Amino acid sequence: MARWDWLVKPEQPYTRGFVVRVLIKVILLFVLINLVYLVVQPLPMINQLTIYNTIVPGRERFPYADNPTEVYNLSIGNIDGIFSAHRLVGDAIRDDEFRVLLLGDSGVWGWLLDNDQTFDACLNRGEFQTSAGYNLFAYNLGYPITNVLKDILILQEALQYDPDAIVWFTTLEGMYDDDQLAHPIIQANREDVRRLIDENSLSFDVSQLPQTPNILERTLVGQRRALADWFRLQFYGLAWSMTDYDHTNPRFFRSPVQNFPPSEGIPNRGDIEVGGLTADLLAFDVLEAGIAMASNNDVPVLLVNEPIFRGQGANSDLRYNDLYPRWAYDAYRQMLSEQVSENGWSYVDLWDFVPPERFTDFPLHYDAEYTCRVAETLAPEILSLAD
Amino acid sequence: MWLVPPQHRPFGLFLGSVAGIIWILSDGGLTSLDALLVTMTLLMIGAVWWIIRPVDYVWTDNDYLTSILGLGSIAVLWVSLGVLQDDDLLNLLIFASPVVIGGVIAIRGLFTQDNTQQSLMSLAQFSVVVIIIILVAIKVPQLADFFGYALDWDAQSLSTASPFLWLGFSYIAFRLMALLFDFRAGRLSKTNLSLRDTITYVIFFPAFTAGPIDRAQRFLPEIAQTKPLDASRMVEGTTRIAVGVFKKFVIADSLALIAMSPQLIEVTDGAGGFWLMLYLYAFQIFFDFSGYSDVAIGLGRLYGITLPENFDRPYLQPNVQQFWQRWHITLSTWFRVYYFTPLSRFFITRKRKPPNFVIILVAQLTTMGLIGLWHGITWNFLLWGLWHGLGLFAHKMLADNTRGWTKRVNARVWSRRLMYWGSVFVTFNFVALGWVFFALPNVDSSLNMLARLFGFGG
Repeated sequence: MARWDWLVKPEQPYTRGFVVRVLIKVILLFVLINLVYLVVQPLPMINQLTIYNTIVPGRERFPYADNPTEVYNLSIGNIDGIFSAHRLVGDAIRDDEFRVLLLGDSGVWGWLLDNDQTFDACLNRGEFQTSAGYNLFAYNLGYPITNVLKDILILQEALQYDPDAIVWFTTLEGMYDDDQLAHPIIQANREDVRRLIDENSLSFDVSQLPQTPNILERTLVGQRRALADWFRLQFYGLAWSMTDYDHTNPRFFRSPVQNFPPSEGIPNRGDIEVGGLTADLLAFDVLEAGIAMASNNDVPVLLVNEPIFRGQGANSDLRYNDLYPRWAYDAYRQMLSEQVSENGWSYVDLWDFVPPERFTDFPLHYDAEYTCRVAETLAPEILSLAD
Repeated sequence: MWLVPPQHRPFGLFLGSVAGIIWILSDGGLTSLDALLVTMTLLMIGAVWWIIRPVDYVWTDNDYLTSILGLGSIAVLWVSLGVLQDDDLLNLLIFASPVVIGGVIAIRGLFTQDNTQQSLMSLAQFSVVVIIIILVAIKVPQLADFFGYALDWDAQSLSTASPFLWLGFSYIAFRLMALLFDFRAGRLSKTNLSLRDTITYVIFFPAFTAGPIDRAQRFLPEIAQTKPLDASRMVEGTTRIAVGVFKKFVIADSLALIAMSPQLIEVTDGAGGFWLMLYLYAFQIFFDFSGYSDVAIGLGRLYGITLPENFDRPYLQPNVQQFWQRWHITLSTWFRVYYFTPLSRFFITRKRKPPNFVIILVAQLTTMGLIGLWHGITWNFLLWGLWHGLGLFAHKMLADNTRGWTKRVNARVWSRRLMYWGSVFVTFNFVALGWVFFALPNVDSSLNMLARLFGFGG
């Protein structure tokens, strides 16, 4: 067949020498390309290359998916990569815009909610205006893990996009000091995290972070997974542009349990005895660092203690839900309000704002209607930050 | 293969192919169903060989050795599965094997009691029917589920549904039928049909799961002439494999992320998105399938076998007829040789010959309908085939009635080029629209997708 003539009818017959020369060239090229890659380290640059905000619209929330092939979305760890896919990067700030960035966990990201049901969508639909006539426009910078260190990692990057205010949703689950460094997104951005810890004198043992990548891990071969993820994220951008779909929203799911065992322990934290939760076990220094980081850029922060599910079945006198025994959560709220008073932070406590029947699959996830109600409740507080 | 001495290379190919199909069919762990499928595959090929070999054929040492190696492989398979330790199954095998073998001999004897070629012809015809029945049984999803459960002792013991997947049987069946048809037509008389080479032809492992469907008259002589691996074959083979791997695992698998699928059309808005995913699917299936073919052809080259080409720039063809001469070439050739041409000849040679356009319409529609059903017996595959059958018929009618006009258009370079690229555009879109039936699981979703492509439905 003519199309393979170049292969099967060469001008000169193939010889063993030819095969050996090709093999040597292949090996040399392989080594050379990896060496060049090792020296140039182009991954950060590649992560900035994106079809989002140019060929396709930017995503309304960070890329994240448990099941990529079903939702045409993908979890990637690199902070530059997740930002480059977000609409925040592509949206020029309008003259009349009061730009608000929402930080937090899966509740803010909008687990089991469509893009038009999340906090930012509700705030943007509300057409709220500051007293000076600026229109509130919110961006969803939630990321579906409970971890405040991840929030300031995102905040640090987000500050370059000229926010006017930050709304930071927190809960006890994201405040435990001992597992702040364990999450994949923290480990994937270990160098940025190390810098963040140093600059803000945070009390974390950086030796828990993975070591600096070795030579092999910095080659093309070592970074093939990150490169493949970047490539797949770009491809999923086309699906995003066709569908506005990035997360499954099942009709049926398992609601948070109402009945609890007669235990007052904190899950996965057997070392904290009943009554033993103290401020030094929680990452208040991270909250402080984040708020200071924003203040240094003249950006006010509104701290929100996010709503939690409060079970009403067996042993609900001991626990609010399977994450929180009552004693621990009450102590946390007490400590948080003390920190707020001491530091003069803007703060809203919405812990019991959402009725139990409105929660979906997790003690921090609630339905679209109450998401909007929370947003409407917060709107005046957010607007007051402009004054 | 290049490590095997030349005189033993055909046996190397035979054993490699047997090992290959065991490996392919038992992907994810050997089960009793896998072992049964391997056993049935080898026994079916043996039975067909028994039928098509010359009446006065004398068994050679090669045939005896092949029988021992083939049956030995089956025995090793069952022993490794531990099934032979089970008294009931051991008894079943001890008693069933002679019955099966005796049955085949008895049937052959029945058909060939007068030892005439005519009796063997009848037996070949009977065998084709049996193969078609098996093919239908595994291609109809409900029947496949039924047989899967009935045959899979592992699934029965766990009371679980068994996905019955006789990987590669579509190709096995078509190669076996080709042998039987060619035998009936007397086209095998000059072909050396040893048992070893017949088995190798049917299950040649590079082409086992995704073709191409070679013809025995072309394949068998190559086995006898396998030469040591030289630089040419190494370069050609490895290059084709590399090209195939790139097409399949880089291009096709990337396109598959967002190509047309039942899930994606559920959440897509706007006709533009539907067209994009349709085009992506068209290229995904091309790169996927032609990538597999490239790998098969490349592996074949390394083993000294030149497998036929299966794809040749199908999307650059100016009409659907030429598309089918360049898409899955060996399958469409198979149908042309063994179905379309005999059927057309049958009509043409009738005393009361139907009008030409009726012959063309019936031959095109039934051929393409069967090609569709070869992929799976569902309404969607049938509609996909009929879509192409209608396209071929329309093209034939149009081409026959516009010869003068086409000649005038082709007289000028610019109009010829315009005509060519315009035709390529139309043909590609016709083929792409056909993929809607191929990719989606049912008629409703396909019609819905077609409506939404043109801005209707929702």
